[in-house]
Amino acid sequence: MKSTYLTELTKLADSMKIAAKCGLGQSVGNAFKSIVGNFREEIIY
Amino acid sequence: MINLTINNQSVSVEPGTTVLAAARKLNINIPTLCNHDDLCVAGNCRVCVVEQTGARTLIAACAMPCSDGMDIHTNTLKVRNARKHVIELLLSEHRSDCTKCYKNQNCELQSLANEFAFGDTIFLDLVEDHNYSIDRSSPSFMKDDSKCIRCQRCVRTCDQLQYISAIAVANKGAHQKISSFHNKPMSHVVCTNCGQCVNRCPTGALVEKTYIDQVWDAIYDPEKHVVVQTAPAVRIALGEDLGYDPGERVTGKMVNALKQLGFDSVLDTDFTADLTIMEEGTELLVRLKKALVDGDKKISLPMFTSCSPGWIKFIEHKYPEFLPNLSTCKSPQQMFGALAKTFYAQKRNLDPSKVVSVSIMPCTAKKFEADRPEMRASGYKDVDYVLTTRELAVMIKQAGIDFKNLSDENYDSIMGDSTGAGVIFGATGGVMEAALRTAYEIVTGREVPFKNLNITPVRGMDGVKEATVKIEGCTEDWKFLEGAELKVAIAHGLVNANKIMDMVRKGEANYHFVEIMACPGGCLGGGGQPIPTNAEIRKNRMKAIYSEDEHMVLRKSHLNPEVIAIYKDFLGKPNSKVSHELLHTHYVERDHF
Repeated sequence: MKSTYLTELTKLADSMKIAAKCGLGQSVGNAFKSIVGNFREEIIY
Repeated sequence: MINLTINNQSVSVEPGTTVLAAARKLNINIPTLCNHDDLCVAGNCRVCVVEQTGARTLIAACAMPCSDGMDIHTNTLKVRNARKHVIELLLSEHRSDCTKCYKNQNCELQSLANEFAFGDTIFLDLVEDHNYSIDRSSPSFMKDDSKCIRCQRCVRTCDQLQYISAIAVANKGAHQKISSFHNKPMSHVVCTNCGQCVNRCPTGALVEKTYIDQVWDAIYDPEKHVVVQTAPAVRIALGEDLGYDPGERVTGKMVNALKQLGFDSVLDTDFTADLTIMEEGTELLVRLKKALVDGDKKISLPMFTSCSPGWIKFIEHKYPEFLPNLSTCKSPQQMFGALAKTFYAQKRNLDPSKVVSVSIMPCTAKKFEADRPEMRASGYKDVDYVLTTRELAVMIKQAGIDFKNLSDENYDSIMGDSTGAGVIFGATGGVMEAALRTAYEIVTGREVPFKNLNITPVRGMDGVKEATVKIEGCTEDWKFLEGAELKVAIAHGLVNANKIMDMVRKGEANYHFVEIMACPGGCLGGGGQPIPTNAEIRKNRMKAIYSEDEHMVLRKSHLNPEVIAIYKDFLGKPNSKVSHELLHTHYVERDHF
């Protein structure tokens, strides 16, 4: 459950990157995506 | 011309055209939420994003102007995902009690959710965390923040179309809300209750206050005699909510439906519209006489019409120094209400306390007007309940009436007769045209010098219209007006009203008579009319109003047989003492915020 929600949030971060109105919104998901990309196990378990 | 391709179809458009407009030209549907044809671009809901080959991000179709060589795709995976996410996020902060919602099946968010966000929700529901409030303070409409999606159509409407800005965006990010000055209740701020925001709200965040249940209760109460009046602009728009195209006249069917709903007497606001012309026309001529002949410096000119309660509240808030310029005549609705519980009750041998007077209006401000403490001339509340065109459509559906197959019926008597002059009250310029038809004839004894009585200079959708009528060949009583040029102006939409008021305040305008309607297009574009609204729909409704006028046998207010009779039997003459008690009112100064 937690893992699928994390996947959904990653997808949301992808959408925000290309659909947000301003640069702040477009980049705000970057940090989150980077953490999930590099430390996924630490977050899930 | 600019050439581009959308979904591999080429199209050429004028410079400045948005991608959304270009796509519509190709019949490609791009969903929108914050976009509205009457308002400026906002680009904040992000539902209309499309993919442009070579661009780093998706672009908002409603905001992006076309440029040469653009290659647009409206249905790629990226676009679909983004739209789904946008709508899911909006839903996570939206109280989705759709089955109980007044806007159920008439909600743009609901239909988008139906296309993009059915099934399990992705994100956590945040509604309970937000502490949303519902503002029920106005007698005209409700503002429910839990259904608001912050598209800001209402904010743009209030500012650009109405020049009021009673509502604006407060706070940022997750705390953003549509709020009023100091977060005061809507009944305490500069809001005119015009309902234009209600017309443009894509969800159920702004809806009119409904009085449907109270009206049903009155209808089913055997002790009560329920009279109903229908405004001029209702008959040309009601059809839109019942399966007709905009601009269809359904007068006879509407009357039949009202009778089937169980109203004891179905009467016409057009009758009191004609009466308004008699009172207001006479008031204008008396003012002109006092100013021109008696040289009375205290007489306030130009005289403003007083039929539109949104406009009345606007001038009370924003230009209180010009309140003496307002005609003292009540609006046709309130004249009708006052007469229903006096003249009508007497004629029909009814106890006025047992008469319930209901009005069907294209307007939400009328609900406020009926609630004003001044509007109790009969000793009771003159108009008990005001329903909008939309609410009447709901009642007709509730009653299971097959509207399209109804036969045409005529209005009841007394107070059901009307003329074409009363009908055109529903369009901008209509009151002016009706007043000129009658006043010119009073002064000269001849018809207005326009072909077929159609005073075309005061018609149309221009924001501010001006016209000059030269008065020639006056009768003996009105010799002082011989050769005078009557200068009139007409404005619709309060942003245009403000332009005229600005000129009047600076002394740059030398009008004698000014007609102002609060809503774009006049009553036909009122806040209680069927949703959606746009320039095209309003144009069709206007055509219908003028064709209704052309189809009337009588087209001048002073020829209305019941108007002649009521002056003979009850009122005496225009501006008499009885008239002043029942048909005229006064205004109050209000705060500026």
